[in-house]
Amino acid sequence: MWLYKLSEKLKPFSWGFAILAVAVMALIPQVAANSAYLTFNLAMVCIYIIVTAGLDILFGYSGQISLGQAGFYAVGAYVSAMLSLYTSIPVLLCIFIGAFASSIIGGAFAYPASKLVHHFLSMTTIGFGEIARLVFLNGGKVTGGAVGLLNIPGLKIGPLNLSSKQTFYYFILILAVLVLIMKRNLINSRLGRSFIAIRENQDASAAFGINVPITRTVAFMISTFLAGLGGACYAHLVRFISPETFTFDLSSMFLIMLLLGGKGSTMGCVLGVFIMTFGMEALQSFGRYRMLIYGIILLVVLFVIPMGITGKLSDYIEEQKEKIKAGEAGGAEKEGGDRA
Amino acid sequence: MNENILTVDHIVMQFGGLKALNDVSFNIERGEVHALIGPNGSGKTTMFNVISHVLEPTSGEVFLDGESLKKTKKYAVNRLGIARTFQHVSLFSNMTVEENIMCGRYSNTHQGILGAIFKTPAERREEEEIRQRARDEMKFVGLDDVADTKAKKLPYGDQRLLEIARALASDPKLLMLDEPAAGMNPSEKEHLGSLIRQVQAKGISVLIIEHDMKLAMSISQSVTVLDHGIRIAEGTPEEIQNNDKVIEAYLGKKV
Repeated sequence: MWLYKLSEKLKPFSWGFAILAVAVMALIPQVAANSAYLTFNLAMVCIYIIVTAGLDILFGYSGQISLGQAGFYAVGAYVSAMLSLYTSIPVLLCIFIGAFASSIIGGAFAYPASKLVHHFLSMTTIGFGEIARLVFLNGGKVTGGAVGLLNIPGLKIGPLNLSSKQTFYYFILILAVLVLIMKRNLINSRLGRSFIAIRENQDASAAFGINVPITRTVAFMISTFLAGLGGACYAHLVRFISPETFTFDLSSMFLIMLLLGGKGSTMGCVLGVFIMTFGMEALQSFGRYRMLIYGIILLVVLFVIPMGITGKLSDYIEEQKEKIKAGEAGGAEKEGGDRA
Repeated sequence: MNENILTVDHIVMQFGGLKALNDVSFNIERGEVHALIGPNGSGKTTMFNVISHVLEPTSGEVFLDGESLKKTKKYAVNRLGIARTFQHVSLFSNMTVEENIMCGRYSNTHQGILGAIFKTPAERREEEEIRQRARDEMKFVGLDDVADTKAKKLPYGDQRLLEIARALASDPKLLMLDEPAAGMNPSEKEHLGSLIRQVQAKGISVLIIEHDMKLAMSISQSVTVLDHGIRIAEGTPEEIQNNDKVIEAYLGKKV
């Protein structure tokens, strides 16, 4: 009971909490002792939030699973890195061109794949992830081959130099916050409802005017845009990329972040990303056994809390709410009975 | 203006060796409630699926308001003015009652991705209109006190009403109801009957598949009877009730 009551009391302040959380995240690099290490990890958290938010739109809302997000993340990273290395296009623009490139490739891939369902779609996305990695690995001088690309320039907006990790972190933080707000707006809109409708019932969706393949493709393009955006930010944060970063492991980590935190909610992906990023840092000493631990986490999550942490919590709160309502209704009936 | 809202013209629907519909034709007059009846497996739902373009007929054509639907895409049928419910309840189960009806408004609204992510004033206005319309339809079918309940948590009869509300939200010219009374108790059936009369009073034509003869005969002005994919009779409810072929199809041959 207390959890429901608490959630009701806190509801009016949810925006306040969000602002507070962002403020804390903004302050940490200024006050923390081990600040460089922490800032880098927080920047990675923001990047992962962007990618996971995209994956949530795809998987949590429109019900399509992608196990190839690392491939789109790589497209964003490589396109933005190559443009900023080989042309004089400003880095800010490169980042967004990278994201758009990822989105367009995503669309070209998704339209034919949108006719596939369930595990067939996820199979093809695994394929895409591998193809993307191999293209970058064997791209010769242009992509830097196995060595990758070095000395990627940092972000400069006009006179503003945001190329240090510390300052670039603030750029990514703002980006992540904007992405979460826009995601929320998107879900509470006509288009967002059509994503959910397709997840829930495709026949009924089509009967009410939703063009199912096109809408599924749009969801895919939004998610690959965000994957590309995250990848581009990564390239300019670390300033060095190589194909070995963008493996299937990364794709599955994005998915675990989403599943652990809880798909279909704003808080879900944020929570999952924090736990996984800092959890994995803590498990660094396990070296090659880390993947084994990933796997165990995934299995435990799927068996114990298939809806993720936030899904489990909201189910629990919903249950309590119903109990309270039923209790009130029962009480009212009793009163009526007494009067009669 | 065409006198017939819907014309079904020599429809044949063949699944392999089985002719589910064999040269079926009938008209629905503007503003009438038209019942489609027949024993199980006579092709009624197949007919519905052909009209709403879920199935492509082997031959024949369907005309809505005089316009052929042959070239229309599956998802565009609703925009032209046909809304339907399903024999097996097909709601968006994890959405609330209100959100389900809001989805019914999809074809009549047009805000896209930019309006959505930037919450433009035009988008907000449209959302408010959609929400208001959803409230109106909820009130109309009597679900306004469960607006925030998830569709899957509703009792069966209410789920059927929700399907009707969602269909009405799209401003159809023709409302197609596939066994709306299935699983309803007598008082719910009575409520449904009066709802259908009110829908008709709004000027919406209705095509209804119904097994409950009392309900079907009391609300409809004309009836088409199918048996084994063939149209065996058409007429007013009185004519149908006294038609030997119909009685034979339902009860078997006289000995």
